[in-house]
Amino acid sequence: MSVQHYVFPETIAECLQEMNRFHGQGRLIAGGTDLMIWLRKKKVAPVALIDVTRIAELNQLEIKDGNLLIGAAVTHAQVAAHAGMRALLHVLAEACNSVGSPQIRNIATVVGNVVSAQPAGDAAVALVALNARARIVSAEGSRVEPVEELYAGVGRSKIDSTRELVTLVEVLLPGPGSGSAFLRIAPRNALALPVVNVAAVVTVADGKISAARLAAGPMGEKPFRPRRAEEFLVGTDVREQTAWEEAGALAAREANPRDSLLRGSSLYRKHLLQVLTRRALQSAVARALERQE
Amino acid sequence: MQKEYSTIGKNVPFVDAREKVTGRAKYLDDLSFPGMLYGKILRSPYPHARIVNVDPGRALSLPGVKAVITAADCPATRFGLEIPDVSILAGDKVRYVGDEVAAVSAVSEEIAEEALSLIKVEYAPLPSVDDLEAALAPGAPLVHDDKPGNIGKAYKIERGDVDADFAGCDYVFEEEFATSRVLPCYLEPFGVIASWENDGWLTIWTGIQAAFHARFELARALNMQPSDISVKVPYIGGGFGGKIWIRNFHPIAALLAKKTGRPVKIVLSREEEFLASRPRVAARIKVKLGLMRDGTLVCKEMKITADNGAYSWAAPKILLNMAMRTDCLYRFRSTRTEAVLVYTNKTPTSGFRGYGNAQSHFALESMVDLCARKLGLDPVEVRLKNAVRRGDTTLHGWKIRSCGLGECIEKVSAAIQLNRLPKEKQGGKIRRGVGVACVTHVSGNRAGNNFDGSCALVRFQEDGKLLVYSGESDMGQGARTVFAQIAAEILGIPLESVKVMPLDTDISPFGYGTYSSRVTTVGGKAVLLAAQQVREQLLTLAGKILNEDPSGLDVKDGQIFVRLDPGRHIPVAEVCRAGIRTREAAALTAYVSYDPPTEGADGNFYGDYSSAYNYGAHAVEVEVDTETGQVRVLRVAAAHDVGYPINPNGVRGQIYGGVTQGVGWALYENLVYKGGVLQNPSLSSYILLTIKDMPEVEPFIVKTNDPVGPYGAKGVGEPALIPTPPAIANALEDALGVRFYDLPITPEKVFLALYARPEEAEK
Repeated sequence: MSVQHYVFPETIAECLQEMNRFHGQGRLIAGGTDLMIWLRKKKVAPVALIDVTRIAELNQLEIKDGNLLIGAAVTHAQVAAHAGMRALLHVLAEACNSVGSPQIRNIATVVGNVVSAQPAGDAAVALVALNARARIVSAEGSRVEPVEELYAGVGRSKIDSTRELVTLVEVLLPGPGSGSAFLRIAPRNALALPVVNVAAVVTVADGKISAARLAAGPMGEKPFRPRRAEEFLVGTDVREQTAWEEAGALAAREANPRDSLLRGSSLYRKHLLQVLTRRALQSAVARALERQE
Repeated sequence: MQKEYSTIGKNVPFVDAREKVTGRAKYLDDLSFPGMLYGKILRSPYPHARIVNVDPGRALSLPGVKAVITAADCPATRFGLEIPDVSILAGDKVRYVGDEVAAVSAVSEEIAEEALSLIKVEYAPLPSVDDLEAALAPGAPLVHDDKPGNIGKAYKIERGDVDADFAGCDYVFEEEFATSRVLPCYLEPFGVIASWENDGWLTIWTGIQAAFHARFELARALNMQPSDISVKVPYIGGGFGGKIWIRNFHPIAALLAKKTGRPVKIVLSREEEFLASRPRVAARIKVKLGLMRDGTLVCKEMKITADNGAYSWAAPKILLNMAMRTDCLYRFRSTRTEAVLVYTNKTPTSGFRGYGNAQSHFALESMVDLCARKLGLDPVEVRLKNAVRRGDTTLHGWKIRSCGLGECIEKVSAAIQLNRLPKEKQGGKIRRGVGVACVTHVSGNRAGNNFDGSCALVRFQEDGKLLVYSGESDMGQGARTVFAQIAAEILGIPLESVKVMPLDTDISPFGYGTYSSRVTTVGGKAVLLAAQQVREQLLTLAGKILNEDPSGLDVKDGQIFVRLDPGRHIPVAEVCRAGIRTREAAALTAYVSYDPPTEGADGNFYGDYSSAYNYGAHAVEVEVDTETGQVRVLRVAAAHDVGYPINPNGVRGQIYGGVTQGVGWALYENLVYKGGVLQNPSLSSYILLTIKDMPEVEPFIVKTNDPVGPYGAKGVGEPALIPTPPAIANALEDALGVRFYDLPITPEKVFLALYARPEEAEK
């Protein structure tokens, strides 16, 4: 293995110093569930690993000013178990609970799921549906970008983990009348990448859908947003049961998943996208209506 | 008449359970020796290529590298089983992705791994045959130049007048089935440590199922005498048939050790396990079945084309089992099977729990169900009507001395009907169904005039503790516990007083090993007979000490007592001390070579070749999401005629494990190749089911008290897997009205079958 140094910065400033010290040869590590495999397969060969899990600020998981803040060291298990999650963000709790196995969820971070840039990372797909934003810090300063905009290709993030740090992702909590759901189909019920996953977030006002965001994977280089289905949904009467079917069909028509020998043909995945979109919308709308009452 | 046993039939915990769960049990990779080196193997990246040149070049100059070997360093002999077509390292050409080309030993695994990347191999890729169709096509490239048409083996076996019987049937149906390549996926990767003694003896440590076969095959590969090799077996972390036979890495380690004069360890990585261990022989099986209107099964014809892979190993014998065994499940009047084994440029196939029999059971048990449904008959009734019974002699000459097949079918078909969920939910989007399938298998398997028994050495020590030696491996199935129970029962001593010794071919008596579901039946019987001889010696000596006729003595709970005057007794330990430490010089030891009273098959494969024939039936309930094609197995009721359960929890463990692998084979697992290259060589992409996918399993133990086996026992290891896949396929037809002919039955296949024109599903 190439790694010669393993360091634990305790502040963001120290972390930036460490990245600077290794001039692009140091790489951030949090849970390491992807990175350790990349190291073994020699896909990356950093000289130093910079462990961010002891930076206090990155361990925050809280609701502040109507936003959920998820620090870079926060695990899937922590998010799934957070008290506010079941009431407000079903989609994120369900997505975090779908990843890997209990052991993996106890160590893999949600921000890592975003930065590893897999097009069907469960938590990342849910975050895209929630229109989450990432706070990014580097020697040049800090900025905020939508999670959806961080993808540069399959498994390639715009975040350069040798010089940039995502400190947290933030999610604006959906207001009253909103509901969400996450569904996936996988070859087995644990330790499996999804054949298709779908996240749906809707807001209902006066018996009609007032806002809808959908995300799904793996349908391309990044979580897929079926825009036409989203547009169609706005203004739909929630009693119109065929609408969810129609939205699913629109999503399937817009999607272009590839054929995979192991994970299913394009045709089959489009079909699953339709079914899961419909089911996720049914569940999200039912939850939205519950929250209205 | 049944006597109250003290340990037989009791759920005693496995004698090695504590050692294993506390992490103290030593498996191969826990062993190391002073100066030991680590070996790594360079494998072919091509399914088929000529080797133009191998240049160890810079690998040898890498610090820490001690040896590099290529085909030039290996004996030129070909080895293997029935068809010796294996070289230790490939010389002229490579025949599958994973074929061994060169090997390195170094002071660490990392350095050995790095050295592999420095070896320069020049290949000239050849056209390859990636599946049966390609291999059988006229003019197809040959995997072995001396195997025309890529045919490895062919059988034609016929009993009775099949053509006349078909002509007389009310109905004749024909269908084709196919099974897939799956891997045993035992927890402990296979490996070896090889070390040469100064006198030219070779010691091999390896967690292998058949130690004496390993010694013999290794001797053949290395041009040595078997007695110059010692095979020592540490704890084994599962085998399932995948660790019966040696692999290339065994002689490779021996050659690396010889070249360096140091012990060499090779443990396969999980990726190597996927590329180069031995999957189940995949087969296409055409079944033609002749029936009468009332459901009487009259005759059967099968045509089998089986995928051997690049080298032949056990596949010829597996093909024979595939061709014959299902003929003995029902009372057919006549059968005919033509079977061919075909070389392909893929990983060599070999034994995996069921050893060929599982493949043909998928075909026949699917077919019987399908035909019964076509005739409007209850598939369960058809099975019961035709099932073999005790006293039958089957078409192949099997004499059925005990048979619980009928009882197994009745038990599971009743159990699955209890607490069934509704056939439909959500207006038919969710559908459920039940299905049943059966199995017949063997407990041992004599070929011709070969030995098919087992030997045991049983020996008291001076303090009354007992040592038991057997040549049969415990790969986790519980042989140690069963042998200890049998010896403790016969000798009337506590189970804790018995130690079953590790297998070492220099010390343990000869044994064939753990396969053919034979260990309890023949290995247990050898232990029983040896223990009985020791008991006689013990009571004779006790009689002398107590001044009593030995025939009036009995032994229980470690005390020898006068049957008519139980107050007069003497501890077993005291008799042992007297026998061993005084001028009595009593042996208190017995060595028994037991061979069961079977015939062995003749040149035409006819004969009563197994000590006992075991039976079982599984019934499953499945649930299908018709919108996604996802299948969930809800429950499995599994009944097995094991003769008599020496350890009922051990039997249940076999059933749970067999069902798990059966469900995996039917629905989840599959080695997927593209252009001869395995696409899923890892546990993340090869889908073993997890506990979250497991159905509820209800095991039933059916007792038939076999007249030959120890305490009436028969085997259960392999049969526990065999009926699950056809039972699932049958349940799916019950749920959906659709028949699946090919394994695995993936959600996408179900989806495609439900929507004749899949694009319609999308609208």
